[in-house]
Amino acid sequence: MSVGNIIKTVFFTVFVVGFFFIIWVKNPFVQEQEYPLPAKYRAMIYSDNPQIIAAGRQIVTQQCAACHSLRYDGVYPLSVKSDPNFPRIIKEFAKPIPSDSLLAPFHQKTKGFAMYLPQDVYAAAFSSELHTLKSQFGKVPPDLSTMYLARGPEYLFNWVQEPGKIIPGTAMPPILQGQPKEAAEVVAYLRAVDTPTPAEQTRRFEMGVVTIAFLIFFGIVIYIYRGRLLDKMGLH
Amino acid sequence: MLGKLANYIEERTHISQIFQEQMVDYKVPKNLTFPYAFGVLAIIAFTVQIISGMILLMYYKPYDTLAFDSAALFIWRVIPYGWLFRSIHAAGANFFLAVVYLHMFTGIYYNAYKKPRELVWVMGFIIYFLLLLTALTGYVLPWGQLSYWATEVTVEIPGAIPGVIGETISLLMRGGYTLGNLALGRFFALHVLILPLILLGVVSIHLFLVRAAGISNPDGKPYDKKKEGVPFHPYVTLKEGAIAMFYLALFFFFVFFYMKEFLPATNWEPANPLQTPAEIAPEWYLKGYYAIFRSIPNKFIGFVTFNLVLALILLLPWLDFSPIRSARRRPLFFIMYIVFIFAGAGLTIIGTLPATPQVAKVGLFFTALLFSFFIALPIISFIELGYVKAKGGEQ
Repeated sequence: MSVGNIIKTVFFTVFVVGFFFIIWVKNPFVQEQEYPLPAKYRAMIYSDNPQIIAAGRQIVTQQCAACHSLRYDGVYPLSVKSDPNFPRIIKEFAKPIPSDSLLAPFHQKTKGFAMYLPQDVYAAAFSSELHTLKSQFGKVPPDLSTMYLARGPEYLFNWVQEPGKIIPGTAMPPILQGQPKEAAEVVAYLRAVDTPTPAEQTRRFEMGVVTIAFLIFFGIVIYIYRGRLLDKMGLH
Repeated sequence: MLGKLANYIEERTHISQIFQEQMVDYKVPKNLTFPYAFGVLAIIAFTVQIISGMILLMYYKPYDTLAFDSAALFIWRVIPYGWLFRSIHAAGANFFLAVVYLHMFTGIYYNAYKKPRELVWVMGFIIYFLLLLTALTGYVLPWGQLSYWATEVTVEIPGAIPGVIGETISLLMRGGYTLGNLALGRFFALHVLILPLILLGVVSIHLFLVRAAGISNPDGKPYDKKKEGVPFHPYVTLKEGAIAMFYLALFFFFVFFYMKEFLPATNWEPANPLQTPAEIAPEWYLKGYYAIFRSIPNKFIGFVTFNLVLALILLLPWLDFSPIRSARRRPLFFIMYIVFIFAGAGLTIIGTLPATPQVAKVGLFFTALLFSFFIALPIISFIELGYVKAKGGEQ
């Protein structure tokens, strides 16, 4: 290979890799809004500690569930739960979805299954309760099931404490103002709803490593085999 | 027993004879470079999409109140390995388009679109266009905030055509005045059956044409197949097989460890027609066109301009009529090619930035750069045509 060819190859490789790095991994031209999350509370959120998650779930069911639902873990707003039809609708329409080991203890009555109501059934059956919430807040307070994935821990940790700082004039009241520990517990619970258990995460990590290692190994084997074959055929 | 079965099939199909003719006796240039592998990688990416898509199809529900939960709850959490197949399908779409772009840019670099390969290029362009449509229709299916609003923005783009025509196209695409169940059902049918079927057909024609016209070579010189050619199998198949394994390794690295970009956070919120998210932009593979559309103040001219880019890419074989092939032997073309890829990459990155007047100005500059490539092509060809003629017609 001549020097010119080497320069060209290096240039195009750097160009392509650099382009996809900017597009897929880290875009230096776009500044993302950052929200502070002290290391202590970050550790709490990522601890996978059943006690912290239980405390978080208690706060969510007692306070957040005054208005919000969290259907993927079978948590419904207070007004919906006090509807006389609620037990019957759950019995007839809810689908039991397996709750992973960190959340299963909360569903002992239903043998570890969270009772999930499909969106259409939920919206139709509790239309009047949801309408009341809507007239109170301007819109139905969103379901929290996927909030951890959508907003991330930093945002949520700040949001539950002082929502007005992030979106001025929001209908969300500052329920946990000045209570970072409780805020961290809530986020830890939301994280437990949206992320697999530690055991499952380890399993996925191992699965990934094995898959990638196998593919690289197999690629190298093919390449070596090709070299020997071409030597035999006199094609090198 | 197995040998008998093989003989039985062989007698009736002559499969080994076909293999010998099509794979071993088929000779290709020895100097094929690494970028020639992108074609095979595209086929692999397509296969990965079809297989993972089939699995997702079993559990996905194309109905506005059920779609989000079927993707975010059932496929993502309840179905065993559903998370894996959704990740593969989402990352696969991005990798597929990345590979197709690289394949196209390779083709432009080595001038693989020139006679007798014009039809290969045209078919390839059709594949690219269908692929963009497939990606666009697939993007709406999870029915998240980003799915919904990115699609809403996309269907509004034809609205830039003045008069009734633009509005009618927008209405047709949206299936009414709001994006809803009707559009979701149509997009679903297009994404899972209609477009992939057409794609399969067009891909086969593309492959057939590649075989019919013969593969181009990096030096752009005619070569004697019998003397210089090497058998396609095992010389190329094993090399590209090894490259394919490394490609899949990289792909699965993203699938297992870095899905943040391919399943964007905003899309984990269910679609809400009443609440527009802060920033809506199409996916990266459309951002270049989007940046052109956005940079030009007049919407209609913007619409015409980005469609013109698409049309010019299709017309490349006729814009570039120089008898010399491959950027390796064309210094002027090489310089303009560098300008072209910088403009393309620049526009894509500009598409990721928030829309401000300054960004629009930079966008206009890069749009001009992009067009300078297309304008320069006939001029370069003319110069080179004169050069070749002056040398007495030899290449």
